[in-house]
Amino acid sequence: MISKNLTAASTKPIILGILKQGNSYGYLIIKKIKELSHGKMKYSDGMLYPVLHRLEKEGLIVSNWTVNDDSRPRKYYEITEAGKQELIVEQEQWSQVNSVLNSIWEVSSK
Amino acid sequence: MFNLEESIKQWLKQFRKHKAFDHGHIREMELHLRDHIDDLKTEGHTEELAFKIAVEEFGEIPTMGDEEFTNQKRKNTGTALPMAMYRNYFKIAIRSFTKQPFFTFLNTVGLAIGMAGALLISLYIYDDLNYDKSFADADRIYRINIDNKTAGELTKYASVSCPLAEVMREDYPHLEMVTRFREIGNTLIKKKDDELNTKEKYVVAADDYFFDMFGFDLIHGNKANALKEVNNLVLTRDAATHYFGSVKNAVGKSLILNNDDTYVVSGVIDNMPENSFLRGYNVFVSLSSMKDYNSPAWNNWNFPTFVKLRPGANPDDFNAYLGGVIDRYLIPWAMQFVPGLTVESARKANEESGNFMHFGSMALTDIHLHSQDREGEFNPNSDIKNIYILSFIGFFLILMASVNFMNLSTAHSLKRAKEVGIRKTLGSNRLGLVRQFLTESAIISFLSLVLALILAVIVLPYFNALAGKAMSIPFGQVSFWLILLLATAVLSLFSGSYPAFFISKFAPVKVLSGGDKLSVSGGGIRNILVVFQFSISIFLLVGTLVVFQQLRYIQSKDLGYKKDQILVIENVDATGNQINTFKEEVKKIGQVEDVSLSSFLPTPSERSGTTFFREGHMDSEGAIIIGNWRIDHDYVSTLGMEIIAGRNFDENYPSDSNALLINERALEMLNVSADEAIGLRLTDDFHRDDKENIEFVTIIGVVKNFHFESMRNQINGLSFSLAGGANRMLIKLNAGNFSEPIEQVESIWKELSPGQPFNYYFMDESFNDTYKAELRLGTIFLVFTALSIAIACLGLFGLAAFNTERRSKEIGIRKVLGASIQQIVYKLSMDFMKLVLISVVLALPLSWFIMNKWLEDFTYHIEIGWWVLILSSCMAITISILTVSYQSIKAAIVNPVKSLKAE
Repeated sequence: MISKNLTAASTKPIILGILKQGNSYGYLIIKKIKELSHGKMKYSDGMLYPVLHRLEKEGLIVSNWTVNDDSRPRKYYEITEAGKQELIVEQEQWSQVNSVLNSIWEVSSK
Repeated sequence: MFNLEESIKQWLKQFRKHKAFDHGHIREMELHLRDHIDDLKTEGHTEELAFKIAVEEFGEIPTMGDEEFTNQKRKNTGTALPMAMYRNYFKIAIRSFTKQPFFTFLNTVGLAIGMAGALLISLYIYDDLNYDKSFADADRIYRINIDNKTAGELTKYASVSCPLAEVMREDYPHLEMVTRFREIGNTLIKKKDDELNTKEKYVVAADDYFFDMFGFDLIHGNKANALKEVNNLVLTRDAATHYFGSVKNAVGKSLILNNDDTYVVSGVIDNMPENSFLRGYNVFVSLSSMKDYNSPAWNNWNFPTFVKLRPGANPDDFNAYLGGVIDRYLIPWAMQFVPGLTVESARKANEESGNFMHFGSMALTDIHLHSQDREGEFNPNSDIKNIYILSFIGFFLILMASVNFMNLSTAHSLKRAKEVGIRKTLGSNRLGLVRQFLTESAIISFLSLVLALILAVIVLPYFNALAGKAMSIPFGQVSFWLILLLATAVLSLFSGSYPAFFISKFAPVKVLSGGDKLSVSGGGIRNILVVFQFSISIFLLVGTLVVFQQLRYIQSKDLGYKKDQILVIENVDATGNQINTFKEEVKKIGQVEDVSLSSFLPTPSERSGTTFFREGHMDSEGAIIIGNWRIDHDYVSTLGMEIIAGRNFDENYPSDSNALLINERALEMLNVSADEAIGLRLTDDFHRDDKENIEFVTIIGVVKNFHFESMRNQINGLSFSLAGGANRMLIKLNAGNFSEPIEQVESIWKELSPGQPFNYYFMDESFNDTYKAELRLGTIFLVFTALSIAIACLGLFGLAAFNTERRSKEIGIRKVLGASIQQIVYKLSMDFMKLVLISVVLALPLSWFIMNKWLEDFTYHIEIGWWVLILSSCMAITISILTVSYQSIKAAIVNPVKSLKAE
């Protein structure tokens, strides 16, 4: 199981990453995270929403309500240009953390 | 039995408890939960279990809410924070206004009245200050004046001698242009084939430089020669339309002036600007049509003369040049007629007698406000003093409204002391509180501004009528709005600052522990402000009373003649040689007591002056310049004048055609007693070369002084002589219904001069016109006094309301302990009466001093009686008692149970 702090820290790049693949709504995003992490990243569903709202206020994503005849109305989120830029930055940072960890672990395992 | 909908409903309730969630958020969560439950159900869970799992996986709502809340705070960074802060101030302000609608109403209305008043006054002042500034090169145009003191008598003229213009043109190189006018006055005008005349009041002769001097262009006609030819005239747009139906048709057509001279319309010009010395003038006759347009006489001052200096020329140098004109031209001219006169002897005589004659210039833009009681003005002028008085009133009006605001706000603030205490305890700093209260004053001020503008628009037509102007509010001008907004901002800062700093000073411990100690603070300043307001109100009351008393004095003063029941018929020369028949016919009307023919009236009408020399004193010391009116035998009796020595003109003495009546003032100037004067011979015929044939006139009587100018002026020296050529008829009527004799006179008139307009007025109306300026000032004083008292009362009313409310418990206890209603009303009212009494003590000496200064302007004026001061004080006290007692009585009659059970 991945720790709570790490989960929280990675929520932003994960959400941005998912939305980069296509527009989505809250429940679907959670479902996707759970699937991708095979249930290892587990946190309460409700905590996703404050993050989404925060990202929206920061202008990284935008939302709009969509109503289809055959299903419930959904609040769809869409990544913005700023969001895509932010995602690139996040990716770089995470890769750096990753490479730092790798190099340390390679040294220690030798 | 499990009910899914009910369970979801219960679950959602938890969100509603948390402020962080809005409706959209909650809906989003609900849909999330429903989606999740649907999925779980398809996985095979029961509805109840699916709900439980979904809720569990969703997590704790309060934690989420906190997270969301931090979010919302986070967004308030950068520019968003102050915005939200002010939104909050605004919200609280509106809340406090709606909580206290009465105070808000008093504040707004008081301030709006003050603002509207100040706005109207500013418009008035702006209009007056911009007089004559619309002319091209107005800053380089000057008018030549003459100040003349003869026999101790100073007379000022706005017109000068005929030859001066030509002399200046030749002598003074720094002049770009010189133009001359000659006053003509009332003229009968008609089209060539018309029967009916129109009486034009505003007719003047002008030379051909006129257009270039003031930057006028002709709409039709040729500027270069429109006023060059004899018997040409230029009409304004309105006049052209009046006579010929349109502007186009006028040029080349003929008009008959005074039933005699034919003039050709040579041009049409735009109407004269409303705020200029030429306002109203609509007929400009070519100067060359005047008989005396080329007169060499330097002692005839009938020509208003304007010059335009070259750019950069120094007006002081020009005045210095004008100072030398007397010695260089006027005295050498007079030397031809006065034996023994030299420049030196004239100078010496002047030094001994204190007499002088002086040419000087006055800037065109100064004419309206700085040129009073000069003869020969185109239009009556205003006075810079009125501007000062009005600025003063406007300033105090707004100050009083502002003081009201401060008073009401600080008083009202005591009720909000708890709010301040709690805010401070919760960490609000003083600056924040100051901002809060300044926001409130800004909102009130701008609300008042809107109300003030509406008020001003409604009142402006009446104000225009009162002020005799045609002003409009310049809504289209950006600068107007800028000034208005800036002024309002300053006002709101000014009125809001004291309450803001006062309220924010409250110590939370004191406030929250309750107690009345607090109410004492700020009371001192509030009292001072009330005293200030009432002092001004009392001053304005005294001012109004004095102005009106002076007006009444003027109107009822023994004028030395009787102006009542005298009908004046204008332009009687239109009857031609039938004039005496007309007089005889009118005399036969039953209600007519007396009839006289003359152009000269003691009310505004024709004036003329003459230089007389005493027989045997044909030197500059023997000269007096006095008015000379041409009258008939019945003039003295018609106007009820008194002969104090000698006799009136008599038809039995044919020699009276060479006789003279003089007034007492002229007697003083001649330096003889009334008895010595009778038989004295004077002459104005000194110009002639054959000195032995000079014609003399003999003084046969002395008339008691009578007022024929405004009472601002001294009574001048005056003489009467018998002569025809009158254009006015004075009809003294017996008391009774006047419409009947007027109809009879009119029917005679129509018979004798068919087609001529029948114009009449009563002499006392015309007399009142002389004091229009004073009457106007009086009315303006009255209106603004009423306004300022209203504002002061609004404030007092609010304070009294506050005071009684604050003391409602005290009143309740007093009543329970047996105090009577009278005692309570007395107690409550006395607090305010003390303040009003202090105002009385402060205001009375000041008012007395200032109004005495104003009265000094009048040669004949009242003394301010003690009763004026007492009356003003009583009025102020009565008004304030009425204002306060309403609140006091209301509080006193309340059942003590009500006030005591509260809280």
